Amino acid sequence: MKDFWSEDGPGSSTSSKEGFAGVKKERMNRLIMNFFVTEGYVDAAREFERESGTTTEVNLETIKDRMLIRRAVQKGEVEDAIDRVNDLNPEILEHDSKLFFHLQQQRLIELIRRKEVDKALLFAQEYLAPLGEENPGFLEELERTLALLAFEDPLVSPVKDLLGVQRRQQAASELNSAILHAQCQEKEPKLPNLIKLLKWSQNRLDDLSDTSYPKIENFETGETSRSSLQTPMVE
Amino acid sequence: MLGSQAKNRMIETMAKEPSPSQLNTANYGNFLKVSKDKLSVQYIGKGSHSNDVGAIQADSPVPSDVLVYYYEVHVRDAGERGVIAVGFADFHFRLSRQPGWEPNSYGYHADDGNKFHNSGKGEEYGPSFVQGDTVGAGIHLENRDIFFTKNGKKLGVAFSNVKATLFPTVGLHSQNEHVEVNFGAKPFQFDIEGMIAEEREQRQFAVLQSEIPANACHNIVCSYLKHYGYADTLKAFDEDSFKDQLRSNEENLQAFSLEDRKRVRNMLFEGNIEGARQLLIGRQPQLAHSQTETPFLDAFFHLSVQQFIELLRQEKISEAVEHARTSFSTFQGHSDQIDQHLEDVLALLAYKDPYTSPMGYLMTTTQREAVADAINSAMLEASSNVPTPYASSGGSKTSKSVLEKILVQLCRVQAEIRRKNENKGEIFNLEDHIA
Amino acid sequence: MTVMEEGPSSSGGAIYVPHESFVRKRAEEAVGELKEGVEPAKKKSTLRALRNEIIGDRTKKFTFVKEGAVQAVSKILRDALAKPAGFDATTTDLVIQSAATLGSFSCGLELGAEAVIESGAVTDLTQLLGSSDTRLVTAAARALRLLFQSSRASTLAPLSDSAILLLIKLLPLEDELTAGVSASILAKCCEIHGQQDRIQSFGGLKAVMRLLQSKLNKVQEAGMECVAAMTSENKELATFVSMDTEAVSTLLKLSKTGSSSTKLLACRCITSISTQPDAPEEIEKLRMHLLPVVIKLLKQAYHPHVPHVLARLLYDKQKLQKIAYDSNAVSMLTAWLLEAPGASPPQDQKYVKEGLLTAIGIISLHNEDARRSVIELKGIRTIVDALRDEDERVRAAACLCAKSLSRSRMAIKSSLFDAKIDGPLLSLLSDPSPQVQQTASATLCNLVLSFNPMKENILAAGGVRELAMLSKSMDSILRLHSTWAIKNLLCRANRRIKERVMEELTWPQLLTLLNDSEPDVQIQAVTIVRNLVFGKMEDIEPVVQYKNGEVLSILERLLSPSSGSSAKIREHAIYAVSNICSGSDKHKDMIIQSMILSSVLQCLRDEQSSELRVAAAWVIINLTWKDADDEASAKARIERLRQMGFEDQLESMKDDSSLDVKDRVVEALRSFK
Repeated sequence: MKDFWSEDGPGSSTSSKEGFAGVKKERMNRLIMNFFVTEGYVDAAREFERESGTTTEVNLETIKDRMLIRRAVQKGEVEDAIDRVNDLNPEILEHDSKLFFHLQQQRLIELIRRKEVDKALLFAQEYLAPLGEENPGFLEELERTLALLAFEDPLVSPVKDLLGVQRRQQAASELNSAILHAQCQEKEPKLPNLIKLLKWSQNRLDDLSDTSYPKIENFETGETSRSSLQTPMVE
Repeated sequence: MLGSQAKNRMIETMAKEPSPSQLNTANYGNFLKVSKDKLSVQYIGKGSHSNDVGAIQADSPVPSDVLVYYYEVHVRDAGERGVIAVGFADFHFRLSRQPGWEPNSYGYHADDGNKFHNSGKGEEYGPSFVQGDTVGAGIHLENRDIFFTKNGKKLGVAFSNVKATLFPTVGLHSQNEHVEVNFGAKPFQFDIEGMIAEEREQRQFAVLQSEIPANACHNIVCSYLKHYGYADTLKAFDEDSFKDQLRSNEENLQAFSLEDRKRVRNMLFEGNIEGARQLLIGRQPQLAHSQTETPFLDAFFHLSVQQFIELLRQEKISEAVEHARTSFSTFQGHSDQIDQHLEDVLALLAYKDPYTSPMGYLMTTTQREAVADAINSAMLEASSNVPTPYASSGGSKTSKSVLEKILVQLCRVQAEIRRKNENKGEIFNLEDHIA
Repeated sequence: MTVMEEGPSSSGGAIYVPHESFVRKRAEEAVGELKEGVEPAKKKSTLRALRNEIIGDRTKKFTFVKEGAVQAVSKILRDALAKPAGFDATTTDLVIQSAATLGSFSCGLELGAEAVIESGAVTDLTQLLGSSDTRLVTAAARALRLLFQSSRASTLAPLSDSAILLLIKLLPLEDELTAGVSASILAKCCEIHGQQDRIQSFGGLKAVMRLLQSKLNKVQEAGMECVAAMTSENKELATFVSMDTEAVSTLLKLSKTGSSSTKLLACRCITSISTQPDAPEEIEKLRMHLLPVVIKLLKQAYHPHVPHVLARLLYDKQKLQKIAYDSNAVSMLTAWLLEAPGASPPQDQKYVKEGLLTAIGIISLHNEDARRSVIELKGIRTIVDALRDEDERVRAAACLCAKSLSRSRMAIKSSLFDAKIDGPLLSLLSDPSPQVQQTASATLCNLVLSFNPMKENILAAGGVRELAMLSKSMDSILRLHSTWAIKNLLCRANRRIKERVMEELTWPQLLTLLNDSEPDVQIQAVTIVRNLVFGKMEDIEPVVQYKNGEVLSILERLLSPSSGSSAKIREHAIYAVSNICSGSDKHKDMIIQSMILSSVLQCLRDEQSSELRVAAAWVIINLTWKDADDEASAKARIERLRQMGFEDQLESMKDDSSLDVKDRVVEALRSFK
């Protein structure tokens, strides 16, 4: 059985040849390091530097603030995160009303998680309602969040996603991006963009031709669609 | 940050292939007088017959490896009748005809502002142009269409589905017509950089619309760290991201645990080759006798070579020679690759300072990392109960991480897209997306 | 502003609504803890909490401002600075947090900005800029920037020289982000207080320009913001930038490849330097390269600066105006103008309108197609309405636009007339701004030229009274435009109109204008006479009648060789005479008996001006014209002329180099035969 690609790849230039056979380890290491540094995983970056010998231009000390802020949100300590962001640069929350709302919303979610219902209500009224008045989109999100209170067990409710780890991750990433933006650094790591580029490219190739090829369907495991691999092989 | 990105982008758009830089003075139409700098041309005939056109082309064809190719023509003098044509034509184009009149030629004509392709009859297109005007012609190589501009304004797509390899081509047809061509040495009147930047933005926007699983990146990073045995990084990453998944349970069932792989890696980094060997054999005693069987042939070969290198590093030359004599013979003759590599390694002995020798790369820490990867890969393969079909189907001996699979797939798909586009348009370069 | 008076609509009655006073009480307590005498540690934690409460939250800011928080915080800052010794850790934190808090109060809430300005904190914040602790410097700079960007910034006092010097010293900082903050403040100093020359006197521009080479986009943008502000309408500084080739090439690159906000800033800088009078050719050429970029920006985003940049770029450049029209600029601008209020934030609306009207006006100045576009897109109504705008700059721009449109006869006959432009335009003749008056009177010149219903309307609306007033102005341009407009109004006007005009203008005023110190005004006054005496005998009569021929004697004086009048004045005066000579015998005899005749002879002999010779020949033709019923008087006049040597003079001109002259001479000689 011949490999679909090796038959058709042009391999005309050295750079693309490398891409065909495999990718230089050092490049992948840089991608991983870029992910750690951009997302503010300072300990992982440090360990990775030691274990793989990959260096980064970024001074890891400067990421520390970002890491602590990320950690605070991920642990549900949103007030602490807000305090730290304001220490770092008070203009960030001043100018980004969407981010500000999401952090306040996260504070509300944490109160509900801790079952402090009275506090949660007071907080929603005092801090979130005025923001909702200025922006109908916020109001809708606020209403959805308050719906958590209506269920005996919010964890099985239709709004249970708000209590997930995912939610904290999202808020943490949004805050992280805003800090990077304020520091004129790239907001997004390269990795997600490359994965998206692959998905887009595969779709484009589908549009361009009917020939099927081994297409990566699962981006977390790199598994390809086997059925399409078979078709072109029959002669 | 942004500034430097923009700079890179500009360099990227420059073709690696030769690009038109002046008019082709070796072969051009009748009645033409070309200036010394080969950038302007004048019509000196009467232009009374339809075959009296004087056409001239650029010295090179439009490069195939750019997103958009563009050049401009400034009308210094519209001559008696102002019948100038600007466009593209292929190599076989007759230079006594206007671009657009012949097959495989495309033109925008001054007198009526019409566009011409493979016909003496034009179609309505844009405004006419006269003395003092600057018109431009461009090809979008990925969309395969041709557009024109007048005085810095884009006039819209003139022709689609353009094929063939084309040369910038200009035709003059009445007395005193005089034009000046700009292949990019001077700034263009049309904002071509802006157009390219916009195209890229649109592309990037479309790419960003693609949805991928929310945790894809985390999982890919985790699996990468696991794959290569970066256990401490993985642990730190898990702690940083508050994921307390227990991985050891699944690992215990395997021939080599993540911890094993991490220790081997660390030992190799410290130059402790014997330690790594012992660990491998200690976990899988049968290996003591079958070092030349897959998947461990490569592993033990590299270990052996690395041992040699580490001895050289410690300047224990005679011990190194002794090691080579006793150990290398086990591997000789298994493959051309192995034999070639041995030759390279032994060549180190020929130099007084092996670090600065042509084989100096073998002495670097990058080489240690490469050896560590090879051994890690063998350990992984031995650990997986079900051999992954993709690792072997590619014909490659080493298993690939998910990240590598994705990147390889990306390069392949991009190359395939370009191939489907008759090998025109920018060549995908992974490095641009990583650096 | 309502604070916490009602909950979210869907929450129904289930939620306990805290009373407003509850929140207010807490705020009051917090402010109390910031006052003097409170233990520093307590003060510190309260201040931090306050900072975290108000940042990003306008409602909270409002509550705390009402409780006097701004005063309390600014007092903390002042007290800390009053201590002679250096700061301990707690004081440092207090100072940083006060700065951050004051900055936040200035942002997004007018009341807050006012309170901060009133508290006098600006002096303390600028003092901090000189601190050796970079954290304090950054905090102060950030707070000042927020204040200078606030809606109340126009009420700030100009920064002192020492404050400006401190800001300039921040520009070369290694911490480029803080350098950028400083550049933004300096930009505002130029925009609000016109301090560009002060800044330059400390070497500020050079230091700001270095920021253009930064790798950080925000810093580059801040640098450009400041360069744009400093070079706008400042020839010397614009030249300074244009001589730095590195800066110019960086700006050009940024104008083509940056984000749209970067592009716009780069365009503003390049526009400033390339539109300076006598800019070097290669710099001036940049206007051409910039135009497509600006047009694209116009297409992409409603940014307040874009129309202004476009207008400046096109000013005085017909070729660029044409290209802009070909690129659809007029329809984009007009479309934006029609939806203007919706597209920009309230504080920018006037500025945007001014820019749009100016740009439309400039593009259509020489381009009939552009004028037609504006009409077809139904832009006239809005433009005419803008003539009544309360903002002086909008009125001036609308007037400029109307002036361009009034060059089109089609526009006058249809849309401008229908939109009743005469009313608002006439009221602009008495506008407080001389600029507006000038443009309005120039527009009126075009409006009254040929379309009678428009003339009638303007007369009926008291337009001549306004013009007559302006003709007495001290401003010579206003006198010129108003006499010009009156002249146009009289052009081919019927007798009734002439009478009405003279009622308003009055004869003495006409005489004054004929003696005006400005030759250009004099010319218009003479042409007024020329238009008055054009037509029938009844038209001539009042002119020659006034004060026993006072007008005639002024013409006589203007024509006399000793008057030193220009050829243009003499030509119009001769034509006026010629018109009079087309009247009755009495009128002709008035001329025959006057000293004017010898001036006419002089004019025939004038070698320089063939127009003058033609005009003089016309006088003779009219004087020697034989009416069927009264040949005798004509004969007498011919004899008189012959005695004066006119026949010989005309004979000598039969081979005049000018064909026109020759024809008239032959015609005149015919009467002598």
